[in-house]
Amino acid sequence: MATAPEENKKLSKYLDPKTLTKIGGLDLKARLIVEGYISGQHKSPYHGFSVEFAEHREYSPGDDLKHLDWKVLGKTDRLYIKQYEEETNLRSYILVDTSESMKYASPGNVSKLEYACYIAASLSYLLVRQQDSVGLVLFDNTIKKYVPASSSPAHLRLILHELGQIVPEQRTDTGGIFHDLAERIKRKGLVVILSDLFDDPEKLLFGLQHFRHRRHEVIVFQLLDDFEIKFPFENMTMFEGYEGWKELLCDPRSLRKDYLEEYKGFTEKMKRGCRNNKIDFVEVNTKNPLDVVLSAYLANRLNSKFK
Amino acid sequence: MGAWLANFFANPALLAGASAGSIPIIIHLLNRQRFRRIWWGAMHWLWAAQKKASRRLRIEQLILLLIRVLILVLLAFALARPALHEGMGMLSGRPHAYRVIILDNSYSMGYSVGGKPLFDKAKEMAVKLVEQLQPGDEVDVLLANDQTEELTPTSALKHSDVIRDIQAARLSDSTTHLPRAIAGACRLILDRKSKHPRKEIVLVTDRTRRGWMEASDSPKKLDAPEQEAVEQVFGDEKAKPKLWVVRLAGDPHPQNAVAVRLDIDEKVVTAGVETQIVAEVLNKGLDPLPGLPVTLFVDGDRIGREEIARLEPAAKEPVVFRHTFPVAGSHALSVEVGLDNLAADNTRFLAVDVEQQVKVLLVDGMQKAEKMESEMDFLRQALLPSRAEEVHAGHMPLFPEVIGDGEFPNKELDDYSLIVLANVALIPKEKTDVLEQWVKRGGSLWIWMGDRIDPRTYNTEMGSLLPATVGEAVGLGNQEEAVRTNTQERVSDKVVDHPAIRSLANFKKEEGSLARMEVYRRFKLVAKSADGAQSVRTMLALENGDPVALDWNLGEGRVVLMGTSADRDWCNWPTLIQYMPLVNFIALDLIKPGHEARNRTVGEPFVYRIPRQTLGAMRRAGLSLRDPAKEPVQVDVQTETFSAVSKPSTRAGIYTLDLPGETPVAVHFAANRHNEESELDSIDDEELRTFLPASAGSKPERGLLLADHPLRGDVEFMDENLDEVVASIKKHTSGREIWRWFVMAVVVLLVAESFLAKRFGDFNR
Repeated sequence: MATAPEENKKLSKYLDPKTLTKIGGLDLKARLIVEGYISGQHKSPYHGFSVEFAEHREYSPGDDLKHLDWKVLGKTDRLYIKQYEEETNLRSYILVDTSESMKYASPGNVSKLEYACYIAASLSYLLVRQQDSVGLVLFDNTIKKYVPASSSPAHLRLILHELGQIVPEQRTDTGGIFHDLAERIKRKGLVVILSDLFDDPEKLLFGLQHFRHRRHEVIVFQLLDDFEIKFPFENMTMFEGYEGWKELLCDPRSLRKDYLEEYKGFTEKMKRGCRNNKIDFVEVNTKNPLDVVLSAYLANRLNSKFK
Repeated sequence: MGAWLANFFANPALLAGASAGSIPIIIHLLNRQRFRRIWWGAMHWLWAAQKKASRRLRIEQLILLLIRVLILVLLAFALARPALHEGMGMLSGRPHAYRVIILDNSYSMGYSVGGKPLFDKAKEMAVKLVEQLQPGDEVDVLLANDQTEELTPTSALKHSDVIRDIQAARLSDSTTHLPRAIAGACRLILDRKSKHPRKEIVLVTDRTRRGWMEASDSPKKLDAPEQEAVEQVFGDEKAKPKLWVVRLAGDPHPQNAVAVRLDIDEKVVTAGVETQIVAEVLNKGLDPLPGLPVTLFVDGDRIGREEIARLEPAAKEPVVFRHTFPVAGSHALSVEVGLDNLAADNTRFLAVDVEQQVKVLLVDGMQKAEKMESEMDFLRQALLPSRAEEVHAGHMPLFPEVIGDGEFPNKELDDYSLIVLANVALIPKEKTDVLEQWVKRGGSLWIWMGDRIDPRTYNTEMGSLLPATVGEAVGLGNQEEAVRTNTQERVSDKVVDHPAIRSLANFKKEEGSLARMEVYRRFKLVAKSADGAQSVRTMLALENGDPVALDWNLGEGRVVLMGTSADRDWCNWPTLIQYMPLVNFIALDLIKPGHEARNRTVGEPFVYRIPRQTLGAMRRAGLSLRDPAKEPVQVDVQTETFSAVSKPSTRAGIYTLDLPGETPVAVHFAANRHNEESELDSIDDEELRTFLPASAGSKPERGLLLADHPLRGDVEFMDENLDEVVASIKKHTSGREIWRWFVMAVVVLLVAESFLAKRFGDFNR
């Protein structure tokens, strides 16, 4: 196909978060992201097949007759289709931090939350497409929403719907939430965390360890705005804090060094902690295209024993 | 506090600029008001950073703020021109100065050391002292001699003009009064009202004592206004002038022969008669002078040369010349002693009026045919002795002319130098007025009593001429009677202190004693009480104290009144041996010797008495007086006193007054240097210190310049090494004003500020 590279190019522009903001509808966005990313890649190695029965449904013309439940037909003389919950080889839970601090966006950039939503949506799309089941958890200092993992396309719509409903307002208590979730998610699977991780690193790591203890694969995306990484402010600024932090008036130039030290110290600590616990830790600058995230995810998948 | 500020800063008003120091603080505060707000997520990192940085930041910000404030404050300080005064510190910089340089140009500064007069050295130094001034400094130069002339009439900012004037300055022929010169400098400082903070006086002089001390070796004094000027300047807390006394060392073994006197002993010099001229030479040096030539010049011609074989230090040797003036008139004499290192005092001048004859008019009130019976016979005989060998002291120059009292009113008085009235009963009123005028213009009148005289007439008609009121007659008027009744009165030989009689009183021989002079009849003389400057002197008195001869000055002239008669009617005087000298001494004393008026010391004016009949002509033609360098000197003709008065002389030498007329006549005057300046004795610094303001650091003492006030100035004595003195004064002058240091500090702080601001900024980035 002569037009394939062009089409790829066209699609890949949707990996840029700035472009995505101009597109309405999270489902479309997710599709564009995944198509843009997947196209040109090797075919996905993940061919999940699941045979777990889920429910019966009345036959409607066009359904594959091989799924017809002959036993029911024999007993009731009614046409029912046996529906299977496609059992995938992977159960994924996407944890999205919806605390207030995620609202931050530097001028001209998408907010961390939006970015998190794109990732969550596109990952869901990708997973569902591959018949993997995917669940969604929205949290701040409590679990706001828990959508159990499923691989049905209808489930994907639910997930996308939930992502569109987020109103961030509370403080984060990531560490505590992780403990909760670790207990709640029974079957082992992949836990994808999308958060700015503005919490105590000890508590965070402790929570993450709980996931590992439950034999979950964990991949942490630390979403940070470009400004939060570089702190490029010049003039006297009054910083007003989300999540109940006291405001601070300062000359940012004079604080830059110490700020960056703080930031790096935190990141280093997290990285080290994650490495020790065999947790993937990915720093994400929300300015960057989304493929970085997707690549990181795929890399994780390739190394995974769930292959 | 205010005074201190005014003292420390030349422009205290600019200190207000120091408030600019608040600008950085205001900017800082304003900056805090202007900020933007943003919502921020990573507050925990920001707060942590803030907590960590706040201490360091506060210190850095404080340092920068401090530096900026300091820059502005120091800048304001620098603009206010702070100046350090004595004892305030050792920082440097240079305030503008007002410097008065006093150059001693008294003639002792003409002493040559190594072939170069001290004055040239002093001028060199003065030039350097002017050159070292900065543009904007003011300088005045005073020449210290008797007058203390100001060399630069307007305070000159143009230093090149001052230097030119200094180089043109000449030695004077006068002495000097250095305390007065310092007072003059103080007066100048007060008059100029210079705004410059530093007042400096540099006195360049030699080491001689006479500039500071009187001949009596008491310090030279200042008069009240001078004293006040010194007080005001040196007592001023703020001005605190500095005085340098630079003393050029002369020869440690000075050789100096001085012509101290050139004179003619005779009171009256007449033409054609050999005259004795005496020059006196004094060795003021420390070494004996061998083979010292002494040369006499008359009217420019060398007429005699003598040699003093050896003149010991401090020894005075007279050298006598004999000379006959061929013609009458004014003659100029000078004597020259062999050259030494101080040439100025080797010459001395004398102006002499040589008379053809001195005419004396004798008015006889009772002429008789018999020999020795007329009133005037004895007097005439005494004035014109018939035998030359009777003349005691050489030549008798007087030519007496006897007339009767009837002829007197028709006589022209100006032809005579002395008029003697003896027993003249009455003079017509108008003649009395003429006579009084003549006396007041310088004539000499000698009045004898006699039996024709009525005291009341004398007192009323001629009272204004007489030094005494003529009282009642005393005594019998006859020798025999008096001796018989023992009523004769004797002249006292004790009360005599009149210059005319003094040498007569020294006659100790019995027959020559004044006590042998007896009076048989006299008028009682009641001396007029002294009024004004005219005091009556007693020439001769009796043993009971009553005066018989009184003398006073009337105008320019003199009047002598005798209480008794000129002949032997009322006394035995004409019969005594002392009669002739008595008459001659009094006559010569009365005749004003011409050359005394002609010879003056430098600094005094000359006075010429104009004959009455030529006054008009002279006023019309004008008089011209030329100084030794032939330059004109101003002369004023004063008609009331019939005299011409010149301006004070400034140079030593012969001055010539040209009188207009059919045959122009030149009259010479001589101005001689004051001898005291020839003394090269030095005065040491320690002794001088007692004169002058106390030095810095030492307790204020009462200098003799200021009898009652402690002085606040600073005095430094320096020797003559030219470069050292100039360098020392320069060194002192710098180190006062310190605004440069402030500016430098500002620059350093500016550099530090930009460096630190950048460094702190980089650090934070």
